[in-house]
Amino acid sequence: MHTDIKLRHAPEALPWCLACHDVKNRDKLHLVNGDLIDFTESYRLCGQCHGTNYRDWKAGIHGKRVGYFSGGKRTYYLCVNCHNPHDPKFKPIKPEPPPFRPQDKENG
Amino acid sequence: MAKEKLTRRAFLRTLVTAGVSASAFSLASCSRAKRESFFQKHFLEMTDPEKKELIARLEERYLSKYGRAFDVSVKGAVKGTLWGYGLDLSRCIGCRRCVYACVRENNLSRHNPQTQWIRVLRLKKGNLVDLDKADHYYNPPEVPEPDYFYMPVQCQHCENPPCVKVCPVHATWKEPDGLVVVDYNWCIGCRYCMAACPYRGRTFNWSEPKLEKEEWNTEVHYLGNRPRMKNVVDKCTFCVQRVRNGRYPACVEACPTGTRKFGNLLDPESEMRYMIAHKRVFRLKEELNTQPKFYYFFAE
Repeated sequence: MHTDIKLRHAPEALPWCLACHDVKNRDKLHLVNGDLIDFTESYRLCGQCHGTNYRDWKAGIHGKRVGYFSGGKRTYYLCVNCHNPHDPKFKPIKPEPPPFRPQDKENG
Repeated sequence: MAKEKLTRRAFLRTLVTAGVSASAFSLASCSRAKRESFFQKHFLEMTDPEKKELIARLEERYLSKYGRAFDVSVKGAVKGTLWGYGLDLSRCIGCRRCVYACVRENNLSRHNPQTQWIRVLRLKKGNLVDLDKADHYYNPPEVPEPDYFYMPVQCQHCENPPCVKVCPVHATWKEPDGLVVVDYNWCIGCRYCMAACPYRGRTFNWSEPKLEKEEWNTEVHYLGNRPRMKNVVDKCTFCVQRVRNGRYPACVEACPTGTRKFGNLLDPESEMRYMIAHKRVFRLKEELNTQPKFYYFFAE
């Protein structure tokens, strides 16, 4: 299963798994300074390199928030909810169909 | 035999008498609910008990007509809010997920006619000014395409809305929280507002919306996504039924790239204020002095 993972993420900075995953405790990630963090805090790890995006994400300008902004539960999407950390670039997707033109029979 | 001469005055008298008795007869013979909706006041002049009656009447009608239990809200603007919208042009990939999320949320007609409140424009890169060359019927196998960028356009919720100015019956107005809304019961379908809007932000209901029974979103607002009648104009309301309950609009939640931002412009801590202060921001057709509360920006 793990052999399926192809790393396409900054090969100079993160050449292999243990650049982010901890060698002794596989349920943790480690920062550059050696601190171990949970997977739920992975944004701190990403923020080490992607500082400007990290700053924007904290302000709500990068990334996505869903749910209630007041009076309810708000969910913050983490970096890895949208970007695959092993292959972070967004892939092209199929668009939803265009609107009918005025002359189309579905628009009569 | 003297020919009876019909004078203009006598003719008019007969006509008026006939007209009054005919309308009195038809109003007497129709149901109480119909009579009440015929004499319904303007939404802004209604008292709270009248609004309660209105809700009950509408919920009953929708139940019998569509076979679903609707929850109609008339919730007013939340104090201290002025809603603003942000759209990151450096992230939009033109996938139209927002368009169809909006259609589902706002009970828009799916076909014959199809109505959509969001129009995603495709523009050649480096050509932001020439909107005449924009295409919204693009349909490649995959987006984004290398030579293009995408600019979704919907109601810009102007602070100085030209559509409100031209309405001859005041069926559309700007709410205290900045949302431009329509009272569909008051709209006469003249479409002056559609002609006045420089963003093509309004749509006309050529017929009642065509939806399957299970497709209806039953959480509706009187000024927003409740089922429209034939011959009225409607428009994006920033999902008034959601934002006044503290929820993000449907298009914001649907966007797969986090292009769409929403927040309170009066709150210095909101994402909108951060975006305006820190990013390159512009508003569409600013030279028209419509003062939109819809900000396009570039995060990168």
